Amino acid sequence: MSEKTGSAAAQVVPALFYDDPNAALDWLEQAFGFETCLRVTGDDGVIQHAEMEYGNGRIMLGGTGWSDFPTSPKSLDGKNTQCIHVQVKDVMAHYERAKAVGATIAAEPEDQFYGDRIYRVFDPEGHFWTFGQTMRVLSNADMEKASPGLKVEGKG
Amino acid sequence: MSASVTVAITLEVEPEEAFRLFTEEVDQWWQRGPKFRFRPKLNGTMRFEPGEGGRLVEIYDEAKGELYEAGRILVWEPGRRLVFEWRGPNYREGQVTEVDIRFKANDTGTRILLEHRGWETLPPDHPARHGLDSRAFLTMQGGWWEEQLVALKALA
Repeated sequence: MSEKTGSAAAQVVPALFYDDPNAALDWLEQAFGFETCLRVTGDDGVIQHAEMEYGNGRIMLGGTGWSDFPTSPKSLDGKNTQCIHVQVKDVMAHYERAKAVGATIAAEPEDQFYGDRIYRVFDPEGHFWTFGQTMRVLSNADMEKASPGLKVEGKG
Repeated sequence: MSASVTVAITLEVEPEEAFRLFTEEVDQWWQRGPKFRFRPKLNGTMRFEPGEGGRLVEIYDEAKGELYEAGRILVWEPGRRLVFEWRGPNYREGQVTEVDIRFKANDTGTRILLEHRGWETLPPDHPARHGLDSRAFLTMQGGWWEEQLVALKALA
């Protein structure tokens, strides 16, 4: 899309594997508010490749089994090797929306020592997501004070 | 089921205006040259004849009735939906695709979701596929529409 090649385009784009990409696409729209911007569907009606946007972020999604490595967390006893984090404008509203669609909440929204409110959630195939909103902007010193034993460096 | 590709873009105008730009201003945003025009050397004008039963045509000489007909308009709902048939110059009898466009108001204007489907009516060796496999071909076709929609967005 215009945003795909423009200067404001997301340069890091995570891609997720789903056993049922068609169901995943609908669910990510309804529960998390992602918007489909590209969908490629084969003769059999199965999505081969799709891209979705959220704000200035973008994800790709596709099926499993097209090579040795792509598999769904469903086939790994729910284990994940990474997590997608999304920063949202209103984390409580996002949480309520996801919950209303039947998302499996792994951790209720909670204020963190670094100033953000975060909740954790699994999608229907067990991909692990976190959504957060910055409630308080804290200095590194404030964070260190709030969580003794940690050294905080850099600009968060 | 049907092989299809969907692309989307947001225009910062109301749905009625987005529909008007898409239809009335088609010759403005429909890119020129051999990649986009049906008979590029004839330097024609693209036009949607308004209403169901109207046509999408590329007009070369209106007085003489010289034109290329891409297909009939199947659904004409200003501000909501537009569906039209699509045949390329090298399509045979029974080879027809369909373009289905939905206009949906969102926070920033109008989300245009464009689905081009019916590609299963073209055999695997059809010249329109440029020798590509299904996924590569559909992705290319999605890119073709993306370029068009970016030009449309520039008008809004």
